[in-house]
Amino acid sequence: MIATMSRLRWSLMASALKTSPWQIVALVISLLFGFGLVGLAIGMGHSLGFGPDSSDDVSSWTTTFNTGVVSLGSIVILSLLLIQLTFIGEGSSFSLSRFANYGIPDVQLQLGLTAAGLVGMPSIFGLLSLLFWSSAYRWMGMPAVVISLIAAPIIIVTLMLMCKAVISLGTVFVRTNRGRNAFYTLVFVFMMVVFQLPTMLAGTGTSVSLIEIAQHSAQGPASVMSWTPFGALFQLPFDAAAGDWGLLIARLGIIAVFDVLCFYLAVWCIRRERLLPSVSQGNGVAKGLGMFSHVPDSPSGAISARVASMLKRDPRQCMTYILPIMFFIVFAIQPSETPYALWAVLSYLGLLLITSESNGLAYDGLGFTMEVISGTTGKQNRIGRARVYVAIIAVAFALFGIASFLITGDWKTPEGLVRGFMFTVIGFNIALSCLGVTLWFSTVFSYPVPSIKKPFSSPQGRTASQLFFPFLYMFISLVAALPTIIVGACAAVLHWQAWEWIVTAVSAVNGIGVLCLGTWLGAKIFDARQLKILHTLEQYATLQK
Amino acid sequence: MTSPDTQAAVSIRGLYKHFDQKIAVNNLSLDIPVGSYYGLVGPNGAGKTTTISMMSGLLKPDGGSTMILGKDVWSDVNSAKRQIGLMPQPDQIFDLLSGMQLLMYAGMLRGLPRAEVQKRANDLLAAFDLTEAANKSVSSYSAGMTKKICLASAMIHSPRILILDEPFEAVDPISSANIKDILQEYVATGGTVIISSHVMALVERMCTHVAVINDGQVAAAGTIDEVAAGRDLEDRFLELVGGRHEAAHLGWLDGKRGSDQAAMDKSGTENNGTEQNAYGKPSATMQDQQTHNQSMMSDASSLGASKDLREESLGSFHDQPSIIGKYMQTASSYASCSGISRSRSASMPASPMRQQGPFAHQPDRTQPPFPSSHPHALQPPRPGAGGHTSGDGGQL
Repeated sequence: MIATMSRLRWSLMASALKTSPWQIVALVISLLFGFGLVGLAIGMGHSLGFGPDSSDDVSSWTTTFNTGVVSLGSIVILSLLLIQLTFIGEGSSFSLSRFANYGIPDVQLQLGLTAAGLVGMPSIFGLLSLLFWSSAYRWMGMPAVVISLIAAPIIIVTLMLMCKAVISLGTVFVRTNRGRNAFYTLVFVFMMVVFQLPTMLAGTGTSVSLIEIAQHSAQGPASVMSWTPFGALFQLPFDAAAGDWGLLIARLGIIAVFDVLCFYLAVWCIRRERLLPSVSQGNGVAKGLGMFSHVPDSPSGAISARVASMLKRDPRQCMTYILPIMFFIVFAIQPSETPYALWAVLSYLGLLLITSESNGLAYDGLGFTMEVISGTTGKQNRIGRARVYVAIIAVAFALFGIASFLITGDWKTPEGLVRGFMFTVIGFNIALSCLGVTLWFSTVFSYPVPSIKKPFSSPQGRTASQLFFPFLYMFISLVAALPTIIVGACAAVLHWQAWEWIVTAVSAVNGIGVLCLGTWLGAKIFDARQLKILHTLEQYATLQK
Repeated sequence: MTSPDTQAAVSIRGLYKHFDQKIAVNNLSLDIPVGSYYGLVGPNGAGKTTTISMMSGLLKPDGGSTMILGKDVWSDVNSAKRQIGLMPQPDQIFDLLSGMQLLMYAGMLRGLPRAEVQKRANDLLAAFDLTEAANKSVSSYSAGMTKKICLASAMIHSPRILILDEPFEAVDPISSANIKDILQEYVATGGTVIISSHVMALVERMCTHVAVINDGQVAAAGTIDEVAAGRDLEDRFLELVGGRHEAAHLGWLDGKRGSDQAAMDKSGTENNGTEQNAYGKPSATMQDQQTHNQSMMSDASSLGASKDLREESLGSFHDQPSIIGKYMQTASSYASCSGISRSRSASMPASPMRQQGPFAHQPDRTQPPFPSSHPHALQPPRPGAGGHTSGDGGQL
């Protein structure tokens, strides 16, 4: 079973490469990341392997190194586990349901699934990195190096077992689509907060030095983590170097027990899931006509209603709303000597708010076929979408404006009121300009997105285009907003009288003009490329399977 | 080639489409009369769906022309689409909308007033027995319900031509009958229905005309009687498209054990266990079962099974389930060879999954499955009756 599953994994990957050139691009990018990680491990292992300089306090250096390795290793493992939470819900080719019909005993099945994970590229590159990292212990003696080499595969196996257990538990306990969507969103927000924490702390003026943390405040937590499955394996080389073989064996025992627990937890989840009803596909009851009763009575109104209804229920586009909020919060908590700092943030919040619409048709997926069948014109489609996003931008900037007034206190003075109002309007107009760009950009450039049923899965071929196209959209949006930017810069540098009114007027013309131009251009391109767009979306749908 | 028939509902001349090296539709010509109930039949890959896509403006042909009610489709494709009601497939709709909202969307997209769309939507939901599910997300519908809502979305704007791809697939008999009645009424009002189907009995019963498409061309077209030419339509279809052959003799389908399992049994009798497996043979202990599994896997490798599976895996990625299936049938046959003792089976929790796999459920062969009086019980052959018995390879 182990050999079969392992061969199956590589067979599936080999066959996936034949479906699209983007698969090969994604593979190349993955290989580059993998080799980069290995290269980093080689470099760091080699440089740290020389140990402390003669002038350094060896004891202090050892303690710092020990604390750093255990802490960093634990953080990496916890981060990877956190990322696994986004894979809950069968985002993988190796999901349990694909093997449900074969009557494979649970233990054998879980062994096979684990083995398949261990022969994947992430595991292989992780193992190689850890093996090369072992050279960082050269200065501590041969026992430390040997123990590190032995611990490397154990770390990979332990991590794999933990990941399987986490995914299995999540799949068993989150049983409705609504629950999963909420879970994904929460996990993503948590991840964003955690990963943005250093930036937030840096912005608050808290000067942090990793060395200082390792030397003073992290020792306690690291020593605790060294007795947990997350950090125990990273502590082993230090135990070997210190001759603490008893502690080493005790830690290995903890890991062994934990690994067995994780394995059988995953096996239990297999059995448990077999007895549970399938995941409820429904997304709640939508009463009556919903948005369809609040839109203009026209084809474009229908499109507006559909876009708005789907936005409410689509977790893939939740970042549309979360990113600008997080951005705003980061800047709001940072102290600044400039009175306009927070208001200036409103100028580029629109860019973040509209980013997902730059790939809007891909999010429609094969449902776009209904518009093609119906003979929807480009004008109807573009106006329908624009209507929704103009409404979203208006509400968003009203809220951001109110929040900025409260935070800055500018509502208390007439000058502050005028300043805040102007910045809010300028930000709104720049957002309109960004929207105008997306309305034609999305008809020309697009990339695969996850299926709405697996919002955090990763469709093949997405990585490279997802890295490039959003940046292209942002660049073009900046170019489209240049009149406002140039006039604003001139007004600030040259200290124009009543500059707020001038910039506001220019931004209004800029924003509304680009919006109208983008709508017109998008409609033309839509009409010319409608079938090509449909066929592209059909190709994306095959990648999502 | 004759000129297109402007009086026909659909008139196709010389339609041609290729995808890379494959010619999907090859100079296809067809006239579909107004008010007809037209069936498009053909084997898989014949070009039916491609023809329908080109007919309805979803796919640009490489050559030829299509006219809808006398107007060229591609000269004003949006106008042609307004005359057509093409039923979307279940994955071509926004299933997060409720049934009512989906119909509102479909109707308003075609320019119908909201009030009129709502009225028609209510009528269609009632006609298709979907009223209770109107406010539920389409993603929670069963396959049959989803099919019905898709059909309703194609009908809401009262098109003159309905194009339906497998409209009765996965639909229960009562709903099928209701749909058929609705479609018959639609045809009676002068509408034209074009259905693509594999079910010849359905086509023969419901359609007035049929076209047999094979290899991208029309093999035969006309009324049912004309195409059938006095024979059963299915027989005529098979004659036109060919490809039928005598059933391959798959000896292992008779449920008897092959030589590999015989080897397992020999090993199994060496243990001291007194339990019997489902085949009435002494079952192996768990340790022996694992030994047998390992020996089976090495035997399979020596037989080149893994090589065959490797070659199979290089097929299309769309064939993922079959790739997994090939690997798993190899693996699970090893697991099942060891036999599952009744005591072990009894100790395991009742599990629906274990009942589903081909090798999972070991029937109790000590008792007949049904008493002889049961309607499903196997009856002894009547004296003088024809038919084959297992093992003689008799013809059907």
